[in-house]
Amino acid sequence: MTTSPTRIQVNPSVPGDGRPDYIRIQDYGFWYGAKKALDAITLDIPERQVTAFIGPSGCGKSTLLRNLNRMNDLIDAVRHEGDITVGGRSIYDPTVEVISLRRRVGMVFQKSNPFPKSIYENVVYSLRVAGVSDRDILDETCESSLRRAALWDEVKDRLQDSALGLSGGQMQRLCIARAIANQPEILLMDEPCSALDPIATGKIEELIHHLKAQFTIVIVTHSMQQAARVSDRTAFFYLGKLVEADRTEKIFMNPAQSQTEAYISGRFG
Amino acid sequence: MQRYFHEELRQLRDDLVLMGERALDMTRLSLKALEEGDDKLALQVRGMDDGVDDLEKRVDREIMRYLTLFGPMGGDVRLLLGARDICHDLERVADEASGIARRSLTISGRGPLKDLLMVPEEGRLAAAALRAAMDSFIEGDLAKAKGILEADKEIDRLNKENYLALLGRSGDTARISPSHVELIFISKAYERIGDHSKNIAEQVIFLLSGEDVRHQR
Repeated sequence: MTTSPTRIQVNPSVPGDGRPDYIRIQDYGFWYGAKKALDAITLDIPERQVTAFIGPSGCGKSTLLRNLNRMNDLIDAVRHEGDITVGGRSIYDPTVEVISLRRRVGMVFQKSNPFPKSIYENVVYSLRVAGVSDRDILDETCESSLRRAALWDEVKDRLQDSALGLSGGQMQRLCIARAIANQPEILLMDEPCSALDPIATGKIEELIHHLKAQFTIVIVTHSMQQAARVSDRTAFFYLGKLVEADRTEKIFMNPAQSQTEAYISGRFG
Repeated sequence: MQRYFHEELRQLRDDLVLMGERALDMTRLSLKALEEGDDKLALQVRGMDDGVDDLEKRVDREIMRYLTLFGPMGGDVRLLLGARDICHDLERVADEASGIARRSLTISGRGPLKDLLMVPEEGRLAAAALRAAMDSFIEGDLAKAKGILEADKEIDRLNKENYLALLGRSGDTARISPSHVELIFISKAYERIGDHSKNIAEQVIFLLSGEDVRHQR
């Protein structure tokens, strides 16, 4: 008898859980050339919650994150099997425009990457690219995005200053504001705090906590403490496979798999 | 910087305070039931124990969740460790009060007992000690917490006096009436409530000052 990969079900008894699965990853495999990076991943990600991907380096967590908006398509000789759907529609549907997918699925990177422009122009960049020139719309988007990224009060009096003059933590929040300005449905965050001090990290985590009311957030982090603090659900990956995914509280208090227990308690390897 | 998860510490404190109020109610009502021979009240006290047990489990879950997920440090660690001990002491207080109510019913079933020795006074002191211990926790009052350590000695003395008074009256233990045997157990239960109040005060001292004053004479 063959068994299909276990679908991770949402536990309806958990407050805030039981939301519809917004991203569905189904029997998904991914190759860089001949190297298989992801193996038969099946995972549902509920909307408007924070889902953390954890695991040792090379486990595939960043690869999977980057496939959620097809960022890895930019790399030569990659291929996949299985499917990923967002809001019920496959991201590999031939009619899906990758640019529009990436507008719906925004990304914040490990290292903040503001453009060498003013704070204002960084936030409204995507609107400019889309041809929006109405000053009222641009101003409104700039302010609302910076407010939602908890940066407005710190920069409202110097919007025309260069973004490169901001602190590391402010730059990262600016990048979040820029992603928000696109009005995405999903925010992908790849180690967003790895280069930040504890205070700046705390501010980003607070921001993530508030943003989940509006966005579905998936975060890759090497910090188990961060995953524990910010996420509602956690998925543990090892050697390209999904070992276990569940409510974060369950994963860190009483995981079902011995590999997960070994990893979170530092007894790995 | 106030973090979103600090709200969970506030919830934990609230649950502990609620548990303290319930345990204190049970202690006071158990004494009233005994003094007035009020079976209905005694049954009410017995029925309150499950609620405290549920609160104990909830507080335990909250502590475990916070320790696991939020990496507490400093005073937050002391609060969580202290809260765990306080919570278990309160659950034991509720058990003692429930036991007192059960023995009250037994005494009442055999006919009213006119002489309750010094048990009412001991019970009032035990309830006052518990109240003061919880107040010291709520108010963060170190002096009040330290005061309870002394008050416990008076409760111990009354418990001993109750036992000796019965012995002196009866000549030997074999002649003590069954109802008075129950009363001695009740006296011991209030003495234990005093001990638990003292334990709570010791945890409050640890929480506020970091000083471990347990097992000091």
